[in-house]
Amino acid sequence: MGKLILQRLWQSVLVLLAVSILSFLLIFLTGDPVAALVPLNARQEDFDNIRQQYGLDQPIPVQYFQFVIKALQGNMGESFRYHTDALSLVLGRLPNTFLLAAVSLALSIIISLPVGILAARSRGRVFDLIASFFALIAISVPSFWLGVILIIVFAGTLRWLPASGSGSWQQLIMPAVTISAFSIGFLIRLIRRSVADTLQKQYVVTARSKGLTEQVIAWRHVLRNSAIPIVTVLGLQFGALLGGSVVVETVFAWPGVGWLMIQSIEARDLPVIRAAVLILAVFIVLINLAVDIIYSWLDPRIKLHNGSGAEANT
Amino acid sequence: MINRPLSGITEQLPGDELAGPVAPDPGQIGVKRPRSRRWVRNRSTLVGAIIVASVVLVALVSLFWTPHFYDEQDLNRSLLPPFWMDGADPGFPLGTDLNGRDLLSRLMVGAQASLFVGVASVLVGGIIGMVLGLVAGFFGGWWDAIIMRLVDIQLSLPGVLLAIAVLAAIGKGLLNVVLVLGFVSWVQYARIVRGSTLAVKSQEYVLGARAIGAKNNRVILKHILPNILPPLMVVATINVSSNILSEAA
Amino acid sequence: MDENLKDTEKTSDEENLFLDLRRGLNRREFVRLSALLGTGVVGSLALAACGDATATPATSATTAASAATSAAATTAVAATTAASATAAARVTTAAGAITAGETTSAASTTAAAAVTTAAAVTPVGTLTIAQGVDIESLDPYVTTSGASKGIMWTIFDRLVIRDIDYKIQPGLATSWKTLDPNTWELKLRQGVKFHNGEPFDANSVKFSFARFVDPAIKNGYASNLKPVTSVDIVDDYTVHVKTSAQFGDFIETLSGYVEMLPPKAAANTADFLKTLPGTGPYKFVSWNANDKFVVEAAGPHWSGEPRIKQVTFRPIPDGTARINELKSGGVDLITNVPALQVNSLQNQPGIAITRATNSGSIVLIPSFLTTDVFKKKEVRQAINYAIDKDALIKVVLQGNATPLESPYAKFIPGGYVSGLTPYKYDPEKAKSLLAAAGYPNGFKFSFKAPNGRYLQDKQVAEAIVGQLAKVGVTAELETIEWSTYVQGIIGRKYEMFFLLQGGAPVSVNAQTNWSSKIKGIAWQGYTNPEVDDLIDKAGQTVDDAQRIALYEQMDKIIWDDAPWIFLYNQQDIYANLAKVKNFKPTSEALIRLDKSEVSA
Repeated sequence: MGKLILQRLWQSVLVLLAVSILSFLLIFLTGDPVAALVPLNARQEDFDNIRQQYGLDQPIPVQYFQFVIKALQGNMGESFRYHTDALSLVLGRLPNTFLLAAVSLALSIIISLPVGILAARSRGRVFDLIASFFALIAISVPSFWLGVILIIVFAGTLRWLPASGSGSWQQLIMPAVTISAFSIGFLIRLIRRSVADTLQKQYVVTARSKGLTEQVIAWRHVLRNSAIPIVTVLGLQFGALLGGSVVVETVFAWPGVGWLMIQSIEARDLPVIRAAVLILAVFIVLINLAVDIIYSWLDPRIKLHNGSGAEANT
Repeated sequence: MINRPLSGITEQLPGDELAGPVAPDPGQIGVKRPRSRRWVRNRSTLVGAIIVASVVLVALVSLFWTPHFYDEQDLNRSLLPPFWMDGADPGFPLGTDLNGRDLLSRLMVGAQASLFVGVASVLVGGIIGMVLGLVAGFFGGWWDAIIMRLVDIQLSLPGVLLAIAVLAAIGKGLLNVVLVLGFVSWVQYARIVRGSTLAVKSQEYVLGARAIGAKNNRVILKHILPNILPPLMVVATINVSSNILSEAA
Repeated sequence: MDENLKDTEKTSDEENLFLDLRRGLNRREFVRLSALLGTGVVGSLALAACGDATATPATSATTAASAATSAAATTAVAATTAASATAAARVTTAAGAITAGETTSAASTTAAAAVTTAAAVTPVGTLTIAQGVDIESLDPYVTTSGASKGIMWTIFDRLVIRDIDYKIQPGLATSWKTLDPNTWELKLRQGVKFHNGEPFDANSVKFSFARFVDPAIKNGYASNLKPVTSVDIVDDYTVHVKTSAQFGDFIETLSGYVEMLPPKAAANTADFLKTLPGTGPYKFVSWNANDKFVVEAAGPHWSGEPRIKQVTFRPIPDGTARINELKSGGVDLITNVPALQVNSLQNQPGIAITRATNSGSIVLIPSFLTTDVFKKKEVRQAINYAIDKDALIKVVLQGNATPLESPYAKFIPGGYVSGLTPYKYDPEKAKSLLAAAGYPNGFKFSFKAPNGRYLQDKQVAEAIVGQLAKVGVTAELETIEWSTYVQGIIGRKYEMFFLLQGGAPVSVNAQTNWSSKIKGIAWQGYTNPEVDDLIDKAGQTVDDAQRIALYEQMDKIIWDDAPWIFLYNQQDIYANLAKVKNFKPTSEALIRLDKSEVSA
């Protein structure tokens, strides 16, 4: 385990480096950042001055090294748009996104786990059909559409909940439900499939024939063995949510990282994009490491650090 | 009242209905199900198949015939209601949009693009992801490190930024959209396939097969692939619909 | 004012929502939905009024009395100090009205600047405003969008302002005149203090002018003050602005730019942005990105504001969310109501819809730089005739626009000439003009339009394609997300593009659009020596009537020469709860609280 973490640590440095270079290049690939900064009835001279003031007239490698030097000192630069520190802008929005991600994910797991397992065990029966049907609906409904419907019903018509913003638990409900709808549907299908699959494996059949109770079988054998794809998907989902659900945050005016990111991309606000991408990269690396550690906990035969893979290279 | 009726239907069905019937159940031993359950399962499979087939049929028909040219505008017939409402025009059974274009025709033509993008992008992303995920999971070591760190990198870059950048570089167009969507989504498949491969690789029967000297590609094809398909198919079929929804942008 | 100032705020709100590839999002779907809901579902839901309609006219002298007295006392101190220097300020406490800084100088000639001082009222209640976008920046010299300027101008004053009817009025300058062709004299309002206690005086003007053009500030409009060579302080309340040439557009420029900043507090930008002290009716309380921007009444102000105790600006990018937040009472006033949802909202009891004609012109701009066929005047005129503006407005815009009759909107001085021959829809005439230009069978060009930037932009562009097809002209339309779209405009890559071009001040827009000597960043390549001369001459003409006459002459040439395909002025649509009284939208496309009040 220690070796795995140590190995990942230096690999992560490379990942961050690559992410910083790539995000730098990608932004320039989308066009001239100055064009997004200057009003269209500005004059050429002001346009040129702004390019120079932001250092955007320098060759890209030079800009990159200037950025790296500053970033190593903890300075991600000043937002082109807000003219405030880019890093604190992103960090300021992070708690909101984290809250939304955690609540939505918890909601998804709490609902989909029992439903998925039950559906798998009653495959083909009424409960399974109903669960599958709702899972299908949940996956198929586009989240902005669901979000808007919720807003119209619960804010505009019933007036039970505020339509937008953050700060109270009431404002968390609709965004969290909108995000989880998709994950719930997704997870129910995945859990149902994986569990149903494991239920028919030889060792489960054996366990059953040995007379173990269904409960013991479910927890000791089935869940543990069907958990790997589920954990993988949860990890991916959590990573994606920490990047901020752009749609949901925008529809519900939830001031999180996703909305900030899309807004910064539209404004070609380089420092904010860079800061957000790097922070996201740290999370992704950590989540994927955690997922791998969970793999080996679920199935101790799985070994991940370098060297152990050598036996496969025969 | 524009585009009301089918906004949901075309864009949801293909992906979801593929989910049921397509995924095989490899690696399981034959447990006989009661007749009644099989009947239910078969019937839902049949319903799914019929819906998929009809969407495909509509898309195919639209290649040769639509009631009106899908882009023909007439501001004088803006926002006509569909046939079940008052004031409908029988020539425009689903009504018209703000610019007076026939919604039925647009829907039929839209089915083509949706189907193409949905299926093709999942194929692109799924194949890349599956191959890289298999390699990472099966061979492990440096392969795993390199491929999975690539995944980390890709996951850290916002999909929107990637899409804008790539489309700005290679231009718009349906094929490019497919490439972008495929390119953005391979990472999910790669991680899922790798996870499953890791689990399967250490099962007794795989270890046994390797102990008796089975070649790598045989082990992969015979033992690993069938076992990683179910979760992969779930994700892939869900993504068909997700990608269709992304296509319009 | 610039194009951004008019319209950075999204009119149909999709722009932010364009792509989430991880989850999947369909923008088209969203538009469909809004449309559907606008005409169908929402309309059928009869909702009760939200706001309580308690009328509390805070203008009444009795309610205002106590606060006015104490406030007047405070101001009196400042005013008397000022008076000792110039003996120009009078303070009348008796009626609770403050007349601070009224200029008695006989020199006020060019601007008939009768200083109106309104009765001070007690600010009551709170107002929450939802706009489509967040403030762009806290630096008043960097913000350009209407949404941001509306917020900024509650905190900061300019030397010259426009009233709600678009007329130039004294702001922190009470009068102005030219001493000689290259010198403007400004008399300043006395007894005004910044929120941090710094006095407003000639030094503030000098400092603000210098900061406005400081390259390090990164102001996109810095060169609008290019003719200014120095700001000389004559006394505390008089400055002489020296210019390199006659600067006829000076006052007009001041009406849109150069907010007055405190020299001490704004010396360090980073610190300044934390406290934002201005001289405006409201003072800065707090800002949290994408969450809220809060200001509160700062005490009596020469304009008669503030009338509201606390004002909160919230960004809500989605139009449907904005509307429903209004219905649920979460916000009191919203901007940019989606055009297709206006009618259903109008039937809601307790909600009022107001509109203002946007001063920017929606036009198609053919590029002379990329496309030779557009160099022919007949071709441009033919396209003008081939587009049925009335049908576009009636159907696609649902009536929320007025056709252009001049290059710019009716109320813009120098931008509008009455009696120009309208380009009435006439496909036959278009065809004959095309034949005369040598294109009897039409021609083909690529046509770019933004998606979700302006009211119904994509749908209008699509309808235009259909209309042009009828005269044999093939426009190959591509709609592009805004931030990518502007790349092509500035990169001068497009053949024909769809844009809102600001109308006021005419000077700035004439120079950047039509002067081949000055050239804006979106210059289309139009070169007309006659127009160049008129723009130069107008820019140096101080006399208002003469300058406007020169611009009108330019308008006539532009209208006939048709470097643009003239379409319409869109309307900015606002909705508010009954608790908001006297709200009047302006053509500047920004929120002006002005005489707005809320019941407590």
